[in-house]
Amino acid sequence: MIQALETERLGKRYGRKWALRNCALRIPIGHVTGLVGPNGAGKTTLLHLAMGLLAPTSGTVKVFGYSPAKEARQVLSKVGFVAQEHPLYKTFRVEEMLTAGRKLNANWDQDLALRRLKQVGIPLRQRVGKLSGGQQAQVALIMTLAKRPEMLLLDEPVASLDPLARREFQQTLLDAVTEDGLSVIVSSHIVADLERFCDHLVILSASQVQITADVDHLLQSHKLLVGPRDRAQTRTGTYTVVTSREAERHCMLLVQMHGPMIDPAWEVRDVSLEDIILAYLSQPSRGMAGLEEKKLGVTQ
Amino acid sequence: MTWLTWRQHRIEILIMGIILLLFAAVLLVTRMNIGAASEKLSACTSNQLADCSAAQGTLNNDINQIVLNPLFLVLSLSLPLLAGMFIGSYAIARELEQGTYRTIWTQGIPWYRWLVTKSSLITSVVLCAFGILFGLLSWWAFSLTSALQENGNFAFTNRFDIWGIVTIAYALFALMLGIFAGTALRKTVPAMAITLVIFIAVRVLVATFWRPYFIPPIVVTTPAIFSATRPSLPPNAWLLSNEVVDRQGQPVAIDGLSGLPQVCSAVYTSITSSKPKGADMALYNRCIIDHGIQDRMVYQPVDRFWLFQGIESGIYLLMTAMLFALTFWWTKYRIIGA
Repeated sequence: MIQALETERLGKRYGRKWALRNCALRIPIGHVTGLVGPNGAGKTTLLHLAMGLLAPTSGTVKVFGYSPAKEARQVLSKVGFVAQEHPLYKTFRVEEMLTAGRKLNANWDQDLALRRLKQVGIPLRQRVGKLSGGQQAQVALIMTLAKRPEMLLLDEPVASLDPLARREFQQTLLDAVTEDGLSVIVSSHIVADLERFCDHLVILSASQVQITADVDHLLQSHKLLVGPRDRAQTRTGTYTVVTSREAERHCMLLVQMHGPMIDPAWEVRDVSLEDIILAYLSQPSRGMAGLEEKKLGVTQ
Repeated sequence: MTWLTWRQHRIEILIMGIILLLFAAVLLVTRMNIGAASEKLSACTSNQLADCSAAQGTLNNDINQIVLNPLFLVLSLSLPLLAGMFIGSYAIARELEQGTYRTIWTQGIPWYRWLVTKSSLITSVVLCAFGILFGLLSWWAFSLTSALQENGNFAFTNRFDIWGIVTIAYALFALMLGIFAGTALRKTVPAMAITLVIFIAVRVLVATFWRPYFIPPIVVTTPAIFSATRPSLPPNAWLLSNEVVDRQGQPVAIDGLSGLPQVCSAVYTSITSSKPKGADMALYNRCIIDHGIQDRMVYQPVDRFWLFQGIESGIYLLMTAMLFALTFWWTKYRIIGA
């Protein structure tokens, strides 16, 4: 089956430093996928590799089955990309940015662009450099939507925006996703941003993929166990510990459950997505051991 | 792509157009003055008895006013460089520096189409501009060829770098150098600086060390004996050297007082001390012939002017093509990193 994004042993090296290593991912079509990880984890590198802005040092990357390096046209016509800091020509007027988009894209939808800009109240005659950061991000997003892509790749789209602009940006994005059924891969180091609309999650840390999983599944399968310290084990038939915190007599284990908890000594609590992500980011090796490969597409 | 390139560079193109217009205006006005002065002179010379030195002086003055004008010289020499710095470096370095290449390369056309189209568009514009400039200068200068020739201005030394077709090749080279520097350095100001340095270095090196020997120069030797008649330099030829050399072609030491070769000092003291006699001169000539000492004149004749223009243009166009290939390679393997 064709995947929206598929990588195999994908690696990118700058000099001696690997920015991304042994990355194996399979992101199906029709998902909104969050790409999480600390700064420098390789999120930008992965997205640039997918857009052909970078070529891999090792391994392969396929977007809708096409190689971004060798079949650039096919990839570019199907995928819209908003780079970090959403770079636009600051001296252009908004309408001139649209003209540039129209001249460079075969399927450009000018009506869509005009409608969306009107919705968010951005004047066409304004110079891009005079717009607020939030408005510039909106223009960049609307430009990629007007390409009529099948997938959007967004690199830290809201990182530099204030909370209100952030919400407005996400609203435009959500509207587009629900209207057109777009696949989206959005990177962020702010987990709360992703929780609102992602149904799929990829956690990158230390240049490697830690887990890829369904958000719902992650939430269901991860629990916080509170119980007596002397009975804590790192791995049993029912759970695998991701992180643990110990008090004097009690301990709290963030675990991945493999079956129902029967032992009455343990209290089982729900955890937030943020807690789960942070747990995996703080324990970079547990993800690979922790999730079953077949079900979740765990890597390595 | 055409629209985008125009929109991004319209200011630079406009400034280039204004400079071109100013140039044209200056040439037009001076051409009219020179034309008038030239007519007066020919009217004067038709009367064989008249003294025409005043009319000749006015004409020379009018010509030199532009040909020898330092501002005109500097501007003509630096115009190609300005195109390289402010159009070439700027065009690519700014995109890489401000990150906008990530937006443009992820629209509908891949990076290589962008690079080829953008480079060829701005190259065409610069080609047109300098083509017009060359046309204007040719119209100005070559309609006055006779006047310039008499004035000693139609020569390699003060015409080659400004008035010939090489100007166009310089401009294209400077432009592509700027594009490459912008690609390699990814920063606008350093790219402009390096374009300036390399352009000047290449220009000086080619003009000084290569140009004189595009074709083996004409060498005329005569024995450095008394009573030898030395051929004179043809008009407007480019004199490369005029020396006294020995049999191996090495320059010989010259006595400061007499201006004659030192090796024959034993005899020439007697020549200078008293009135040279036939016997002394024969002795001296014998010494010169024994040592194989010759007067050697090396030059390029003026009829090679256009051939040399063609060769030098070819060299610069070849370097331009190589720089473009290098830019493409650099983008593919260093920026994208395949």
